[in-house]
Amino acid sequence: MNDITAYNKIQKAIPQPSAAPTAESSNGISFGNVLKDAINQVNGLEVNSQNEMNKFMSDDTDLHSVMMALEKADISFQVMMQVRNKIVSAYQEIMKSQV
Amino acid sequence: MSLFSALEINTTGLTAQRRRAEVASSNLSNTDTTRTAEGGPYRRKDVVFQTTTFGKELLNANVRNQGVEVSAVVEDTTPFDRRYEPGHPDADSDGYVSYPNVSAMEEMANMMSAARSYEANIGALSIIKTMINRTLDLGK
Repeated sequence: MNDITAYNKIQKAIPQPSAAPTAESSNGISFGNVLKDAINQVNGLEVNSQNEMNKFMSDDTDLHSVMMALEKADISFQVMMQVRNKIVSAYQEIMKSQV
Repeated sequence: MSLFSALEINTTGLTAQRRRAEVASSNLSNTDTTRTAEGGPYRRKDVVFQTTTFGKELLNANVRNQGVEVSAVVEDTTPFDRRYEPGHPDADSDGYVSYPNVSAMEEMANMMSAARSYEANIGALSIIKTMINRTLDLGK
């Protein structure tokens, strides 16, 4: 009985959101869009490295340009993976929490 | 991407030094060439380096001289090496043959200098790569 009254008190203390929460923040930039853009950018670098590779095969570019494109793609991919790992671990942390 | 501007600057260095090595190779292989498409013996070539503006961030910071490029390949105007070889088909009426104004030793030194500069750029690149990777390790 005591527990339930305590719970009710807490629930009153928590401010209830007036509107249903949306993914969009006030200025219209959602986290999802930012992530999507970042992934697109990483993908663009991967495609770029592939193009450089093709150019190298047809003798249009230097070896170091190819290596540099590959490095850029690799680094940006690693950055993306780090961000993804962070998001997944945050999600798992929340899922593990006792309700 | 600002993350990559240092990498790109060093890439321009690699390109420029490779071009210089190419020109030195051309000089080396033509040390005894007496016939060219333009007529006369081969003239020694040299590269002229020039800075290039690089990256939006650096431009905003008003740092304008960043990357490097080969702005021109110029011909060395020093006189040809004249040797007395009357039997040579390209000898003039006095029996002298004009040989290219290329010194093999000088070209080798030039080549080594280009190789060292190339290596320096590679070294800088790998340092920057290590820095980026170390930063990424923060998240692990």
